[in-house]
Amino acid sequence: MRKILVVQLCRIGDILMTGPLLRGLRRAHPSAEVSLMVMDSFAATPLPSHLYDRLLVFPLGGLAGALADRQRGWEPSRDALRSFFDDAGGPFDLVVNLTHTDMSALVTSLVPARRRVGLVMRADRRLGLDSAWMTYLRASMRSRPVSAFHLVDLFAWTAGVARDASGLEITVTADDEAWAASFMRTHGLTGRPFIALQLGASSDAKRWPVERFAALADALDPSLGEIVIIGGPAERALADRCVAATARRVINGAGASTLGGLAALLRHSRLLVTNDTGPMHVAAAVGTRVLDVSSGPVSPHETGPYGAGHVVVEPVLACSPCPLDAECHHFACRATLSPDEAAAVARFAMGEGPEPVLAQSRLLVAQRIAPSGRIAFLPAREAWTADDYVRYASARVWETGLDAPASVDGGWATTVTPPAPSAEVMASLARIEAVLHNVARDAAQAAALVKDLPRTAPAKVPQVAARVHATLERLLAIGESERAVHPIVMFLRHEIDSVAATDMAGVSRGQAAAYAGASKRAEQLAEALHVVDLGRWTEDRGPSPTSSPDAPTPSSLHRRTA
Amino acid sequence: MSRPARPPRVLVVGPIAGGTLDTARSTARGAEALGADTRLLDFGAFGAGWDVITKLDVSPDHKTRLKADYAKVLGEAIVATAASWRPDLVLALAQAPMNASVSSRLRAAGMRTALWFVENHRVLTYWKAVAKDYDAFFAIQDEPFLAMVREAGAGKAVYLPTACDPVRHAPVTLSDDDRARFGADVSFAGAPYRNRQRLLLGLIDMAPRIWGDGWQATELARLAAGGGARFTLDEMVKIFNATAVNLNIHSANHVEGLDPDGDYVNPRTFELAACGAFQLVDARAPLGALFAPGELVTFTSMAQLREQIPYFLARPAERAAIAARARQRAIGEHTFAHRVRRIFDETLPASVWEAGRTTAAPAADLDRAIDALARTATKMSPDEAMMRVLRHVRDGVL
Repeated sequence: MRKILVVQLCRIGDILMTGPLLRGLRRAHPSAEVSLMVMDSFAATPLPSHLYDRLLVFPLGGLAGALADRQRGWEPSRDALRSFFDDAGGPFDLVVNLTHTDMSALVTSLVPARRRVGLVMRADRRLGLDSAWMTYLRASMRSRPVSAFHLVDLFAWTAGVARDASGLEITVTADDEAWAASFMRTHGLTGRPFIALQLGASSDAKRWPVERFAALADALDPSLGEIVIIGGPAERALADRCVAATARRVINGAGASTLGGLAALLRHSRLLVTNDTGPMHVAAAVGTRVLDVSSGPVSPHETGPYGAGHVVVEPVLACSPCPLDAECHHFACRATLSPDEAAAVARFAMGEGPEPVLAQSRLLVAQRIAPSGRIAFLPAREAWTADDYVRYASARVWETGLDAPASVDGGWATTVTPPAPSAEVMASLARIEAVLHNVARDAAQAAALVKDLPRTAPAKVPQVAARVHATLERLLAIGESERAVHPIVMFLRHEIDSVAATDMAGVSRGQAAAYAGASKRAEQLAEALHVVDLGRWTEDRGPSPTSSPDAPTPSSLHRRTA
Repeated sequence: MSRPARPPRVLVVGPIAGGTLDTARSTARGAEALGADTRLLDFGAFGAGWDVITKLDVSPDHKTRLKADYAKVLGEAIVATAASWRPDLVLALAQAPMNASVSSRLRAAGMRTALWFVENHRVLTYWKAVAKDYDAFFAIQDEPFLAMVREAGAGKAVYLPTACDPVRHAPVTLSDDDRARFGADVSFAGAPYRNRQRLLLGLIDMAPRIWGDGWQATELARLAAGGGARFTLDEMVKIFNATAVNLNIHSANHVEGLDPDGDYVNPRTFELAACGAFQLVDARAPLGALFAPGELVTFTSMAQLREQIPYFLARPAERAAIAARARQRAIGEHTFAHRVRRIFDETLPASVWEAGRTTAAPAADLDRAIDALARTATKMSPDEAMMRVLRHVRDGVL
């Protein structure tokens, strides 16, 4: 029997986002035993048990406690860790590491396996990726304003499974439903609409100010529904502040439920207004419309609420989204959305009002895009920015280049035609296109040089190698200054670092292929942006589930021949 | 007494070849684990050159002079390193290329010298000539040998058994391939000394797997595992872990069977214990002071060994319990860090080392253990990977 292990050592939201991958594995390998490894602190995440056969709980808490006892030394912890891996049930035919941390790479290397995909620590102490999609994820970490793919889709493609029409899943038990019913009864919510607010977040940078949540509550007409604050026990203080700051009745449900109870409650909610949090994914999993107020080091394009129709508000700021390790002292992104604007967006999200125009933010709506069925957050009516075009075109280039599988039972996803860009955006795209052509040319030249290295006279090899290295340095520098290029050159660098051959011919082949790949992607992206620039679309008119009759018609993105 | 202002500085000098090479590396790790600023002069790379000289087709006199000149170069390397770095202690392991000239120059420069003679003094007799060159002589055999060492001129003579290295000697997770390659009900790993050959012949019907170089040229050739090739340290640990009953037979070339004068305990005893592997070991007088009852199973005759093997093969739980107790003892009291602590207590002044410095057990610092492995092993082992995981957990870098 084939044995597959998925390693997901992140938080609740990441575990829920792993659901579609697990469902895909069930579909692709119906007789396989599928195991899921999670951290002990998040082992209670109610991921439906039909998605996996075994749950491996990494004993982080136990190890941390034992290591804190310095008298005992570290050897007993190592013995405990050894027992964990001995009992893991390996060897596995495939281990998929979805966690992008050095620790998970070590853990993945310790699990007995025939094949490992994702971040792995090799015996030479270097990190290996062994997955084109995880290489892409790593490559795009510092070009997040143009990050093209949601983690749910990346996770699935990493394991080689296609996306289906469904989104996230979560278990809601009869007890959870009973709790929710009791909660609603107690607070007079039975049969009445309500809007849920999630105030907290894992970091302050991600948290829309509590006072603005309170003002939002007051700005929403009571006819739209009651206001219920949700959240964990640690967020009760925030919830109390919010309640104290509002003029209307607000029900404080923070810390009142388990995750399952929360899911059951959110099922009955009209809307969840939230930061980028675990409850956001819970709401998406139970089919409740989400308004995601995105700020800080969050790219909704990577981790936004998964499902067509969810709404995201993202700041229009040069520094947004900030890098994951950024130190910010102004938090300007948290102040870009006013409470009145948020109320207008909430009404729009519930179908109770028109799409508002925002002063310092943008309103994006989630759509599932053909042919892969990936999710994309696109402006509903607003003009696209240069980043939007780069993101959309990049997605097509990478989907094609890395063979993203076509969606299961295709036909439910939409195709999107980018609207004609403004003159200003066209100028930006033309500039980016020129840079991409230069990158393509330089990478192609480097590919040719590297390919010929085995035949180069030994005395000239150092000189040629220096030229190639200088080209790589130049490409990396370009990537630092032009974020459209950044994923391409970082992918190139990771591919070069991953060349395992030690003989000249093998190294030459591996590196030549990497440079050739970079050249091709740069050229393809330039071409895709050129199509936009010249406004040459072919239009295949057809219905778009989330667009109004006036919205751009769906189309394939390709150049019309002269 | 105030704490020393800086850690002790220790230069560990290993041999050119042989099993003591690994002992030197483990000794250096033990010193690091105690917080000493440690450098290891690892002359293992010079072993190949020594072999070349040994195989030269020249007269014995010429060969002796060439070897002496070769060793002189290494001796100069020791002096130069010490002169540059100024260690508080130069700790040589048995067969380190330290002659009288080298040690006298070190002592003249104010450095303390110590030798840990991890050999059987009856087999390697050069100790008589070198004892006087050292301020302290540590031996794996107790009195009356220590008196003989003092008589030979050593500053002090101290009994110090060998040890295990928890970084290298530990239980390991075995893959299916490992089990297929190294697994056995009964195994022996070691060199084909005469007494071992005789004893193992007496077990030939039990078909033990026999590991080590040279067995293919004996009557036990058909039981020689791995084609009779040498095994690496990593392979040895896997052999231990993959074997239900490990036979541990102390070597002796002067007797046909068990050595009745066994006055030392071999490193294998501690290594097997640290690996959590079950062993049957020939009884030795010093064992009683090193392990408590119930932690080791000893035999005093072939007849007894032949009874013990099937008994313990049929009782895996009992084997596991005994092995676990032995491991706890080995890790708690018989690591290289424990031994180096004793060396420091006996050789270093209070200004650089507080004697009797206490922790319940000198738990090897995780960072130093990882660094030591990274320096000495070209490939990351599962143990090192696990230690790195623990470091992430400790530091909260998840």
